[in-house]
Amino acid sequence: MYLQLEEYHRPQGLEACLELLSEPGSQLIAGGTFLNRRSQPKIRSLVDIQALGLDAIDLLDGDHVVIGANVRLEALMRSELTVGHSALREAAASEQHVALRNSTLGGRLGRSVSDARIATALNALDATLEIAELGDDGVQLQRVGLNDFYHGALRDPAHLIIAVRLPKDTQQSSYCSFGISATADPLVDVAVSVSARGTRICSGCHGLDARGVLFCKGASDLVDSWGSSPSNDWQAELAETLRKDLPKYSNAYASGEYRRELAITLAIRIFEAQFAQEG
Amino acid sequence: MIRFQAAINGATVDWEVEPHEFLTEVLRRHGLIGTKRGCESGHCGACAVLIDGREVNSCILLAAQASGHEIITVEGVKGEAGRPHPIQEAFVDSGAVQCGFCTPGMVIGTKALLDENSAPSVNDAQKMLAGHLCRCTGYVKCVDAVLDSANRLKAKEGKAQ
Repeated sequence: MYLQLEEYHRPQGLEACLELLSEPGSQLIAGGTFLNRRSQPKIRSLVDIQALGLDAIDLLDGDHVVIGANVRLEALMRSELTVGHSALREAAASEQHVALRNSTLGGRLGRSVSDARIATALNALDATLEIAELGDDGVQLQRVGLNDFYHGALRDPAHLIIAVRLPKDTQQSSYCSFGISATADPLVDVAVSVSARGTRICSGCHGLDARGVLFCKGASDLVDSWGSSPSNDWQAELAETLRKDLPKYSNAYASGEYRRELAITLAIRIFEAQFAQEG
Repeated sequence: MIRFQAAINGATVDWEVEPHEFLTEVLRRHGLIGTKRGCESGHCGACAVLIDGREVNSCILLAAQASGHEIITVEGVKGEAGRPHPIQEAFVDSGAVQCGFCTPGMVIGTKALLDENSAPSVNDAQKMLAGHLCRCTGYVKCVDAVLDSANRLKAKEGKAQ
């Protein structure tokens, strides 16, 4: 079935955009990589957000880095994010398709239920999403965490992700994924960040029945309890705690147990690399 | 119908397009047939064009989305005095053209790469070409062509100075 589009809009303001999105059959378009001739038969009207000015990375906003929802993954890979936010750059490089070059940050977050690698990195970086919605008094902005976004009522099409906010005080972060091939979606991924607020270990739920991104609280607390000197058998301790944190979601390619063990291996590798760097 | 206004290969155009039309179809309807219709799902790169200097697959970009922007198709990648562009000469001389269907997309990809990075590594060339499917050449000569293009453009700049 080919695209049956009847209308295309490029609103100049948030309010007009949200009004258009609230109409039945409307679909938001950012990079537009989900569109092709052979699919999407039910979209009647497209609302293009390219004129809303959501394509900037603001490094100067107080305690946070603010990344516009329409920033392309390609731009994120080349951006001047600090070493503390390197997990985001690594996840963007992993998620950016070699041929579909238009993917945007908001597009990947908004369209994905559980396969956005970028979401794993953002959760580790303790990101919040800025969402615009149409209230009785016009446009209202609210901030929500990633898991609230993935599990909550915000998937209403009349909402719009306008930006992602990252705390600036993250000292270091890393992202790692494993897939069957270089171009396949990962079987599992892990991101870790370290800041004065503590360690955050997160894993993407790339599996059946999985939604959102998991914050591994037990394992994160364990790493914080080590201070600067982990015990000699820290790998076993971390593995054991992660087994309690991570559910066993299977997918078409691997069992839940296998995927959980992969996630544990990736997390251990990230910490091995970090400890090696610290000497 | 909606209005499509853009600068294509340096010329201003003002066309009418349907909301569902993709850029590939609109360009080809107006005679710019160097932009190839390949997979029509954004994977093969035969339809690549430059939009504001950035490589984009025009088969998954609505023409309406491209309105108001600067577009370069392979017809706009020209050398001086009617000669082929150094990138095109490099592709021919390296033996990187067989059936030629993927070549316009690769030429556009090479231009986008070299506009940003005038001395690409083999890895840079491979990464760019990863978004362009070619069933004839095996890519080795295409990588050679990208690196040769960089050398030719550098030599040309040197001469100009």
